[in-house]
Amino acid sequence: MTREQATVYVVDDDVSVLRSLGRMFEIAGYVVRTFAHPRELLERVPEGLGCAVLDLRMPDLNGLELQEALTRVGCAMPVVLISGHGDIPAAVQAMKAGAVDFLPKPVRSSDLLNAVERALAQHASAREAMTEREAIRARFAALTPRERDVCRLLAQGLQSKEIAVELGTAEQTVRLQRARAMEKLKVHSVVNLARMVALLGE
Amino acid sequence: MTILIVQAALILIFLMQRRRRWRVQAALEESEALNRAVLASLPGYVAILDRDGVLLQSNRAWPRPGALQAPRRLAEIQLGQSYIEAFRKAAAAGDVGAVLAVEHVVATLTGRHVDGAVEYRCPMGERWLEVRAEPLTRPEGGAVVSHLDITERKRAEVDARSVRAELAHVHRVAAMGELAASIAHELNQPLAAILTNAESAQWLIDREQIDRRMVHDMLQDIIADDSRAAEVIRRMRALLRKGEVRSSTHDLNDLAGEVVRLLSNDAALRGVSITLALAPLPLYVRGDGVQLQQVLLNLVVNALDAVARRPPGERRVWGRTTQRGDWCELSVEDTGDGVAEGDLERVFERFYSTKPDGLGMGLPISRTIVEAHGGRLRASRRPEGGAIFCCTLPTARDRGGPG
Repeated sequence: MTREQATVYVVDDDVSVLRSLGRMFEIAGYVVRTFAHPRELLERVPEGLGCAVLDLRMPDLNGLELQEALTRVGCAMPVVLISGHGDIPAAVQAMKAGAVDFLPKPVRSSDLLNAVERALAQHASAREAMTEREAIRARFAALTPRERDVCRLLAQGLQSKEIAVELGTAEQTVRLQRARAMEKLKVHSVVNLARMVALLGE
Repeated sequence: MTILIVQAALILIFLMQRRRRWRVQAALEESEALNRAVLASLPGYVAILDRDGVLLQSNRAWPRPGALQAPRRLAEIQLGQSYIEAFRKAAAAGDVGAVLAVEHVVATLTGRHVDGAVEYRCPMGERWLEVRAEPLTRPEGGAVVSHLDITERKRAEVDARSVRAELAHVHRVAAMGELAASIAHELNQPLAAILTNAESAQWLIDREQIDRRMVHDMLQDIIADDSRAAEVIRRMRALLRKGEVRSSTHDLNDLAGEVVRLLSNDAALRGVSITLALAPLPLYVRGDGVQLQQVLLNLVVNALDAVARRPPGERRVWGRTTQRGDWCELSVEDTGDGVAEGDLERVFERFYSTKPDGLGMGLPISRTIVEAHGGRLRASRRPEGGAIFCCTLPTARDRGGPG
């Protein structure tokens, strides 16, 4: 599975808790990075597959703020929040902000590993989707400008004849460009072509 | 003829001298009667001692040996016996209070008189006497020593103290509620680490190859975290302790630091920043550490409440300590609404509270505690808005241990 390549980032200002979590994730087979200060995590923004385990209440920057900060610098890593305070409002806020889970301390290792697994699966599929999107974007960019125009108009539901009128060319030309575009984009039907164009937001 | 005149003159002179002697005698007798009357009328037990501390005279109330309901220590001293020796013997036999009393009398007899009285507790019968000694200004020296029975007054004092202690205890318990969040959080941290370490250790020993070193480290951490949790509970218990006032020397900086530490989680929860500006050198005061902490706790909790309605970022509280010669000063400042000019004394009245669920007892109790320690607690306004509560306590003269 993705287990071996994944990195778990743990941030907790309580030294003893941090040490125990670091050990636990290591024994469970993950690569772990531990930070006592939230800012340290922001200094070298993680890339690659991973998830963050953050304590909710920390001086200076709390777990929620850290989550926001990571998003702001373009890090899509999912977050699991843990907390020693029975803070319901904060828990709700955390979940709304997209945290994978909120676990009160003392937290059972099995629960935490469970949450981390879910978080990593989430991250993995998000990354997969992103890679695919990048590939498609690259392919689209490889089209000629005319081919792109044809695609956009096809996605809007126009027939070849109408597109030819729109662009001021012959219908034959449009059909040719459509064929080439579909080949380059690796799609076999106009429906799929339309879907792809919509996906790219073009 | 001349002989007759001389004889008459001599007789006259003799008669005049006799009359003068009678007059002097009468005056003396009158004076003595006056003395006796005054002595008899004096309240309490009064003794006149000579310069060596021997009892010359006593008033009518002076107890006779074997008298019931009378202080035995005094009954043991009768005319011609040494007051000083009697008290010194008692002190040597274990009556510690006798030392102060006899020293006061001796000081008066030897010309080192100090104004004031000494309280002496009679070992049997639980009576309290107030001992005052006044030097006799005559060439032979001596002193007048009075012993006033102040048992009733002492009893009233003890009663008042126990009521205060009771009230303070109730207040402490109420204050514990406010600390509940801090306590829970402080305990959850070590408990969390202990759980994780224990579970991890279990995994490790289930393996083929047991990493002994790591298991050992985990167990070590578990032990340390257990101590941490125990310490939290101990501190909370100490805060809740009901009991006699204990007096020892404390550093105000330490007390302030401890209280702020206790409340740091609470403050973080409420988005309040607490800044400690402590004097560079220790500030030693004498008193009951728990009670003093209670006062500080009260002041800081009030400050946290005061700034609650401020927008985040403007919720600030400062704790400052300063040495001012014979006085140690600790002040708590906040950026809240402050106390109105006319209410600066009212806030210390019983049942005055601006909080909807406030008891209104925190500040009065705090002031009572501070004053019982010989200090002052005042409220003032912060120029930039907000309140300052300033507590001054006398600097401990010596840094001796528990008193």
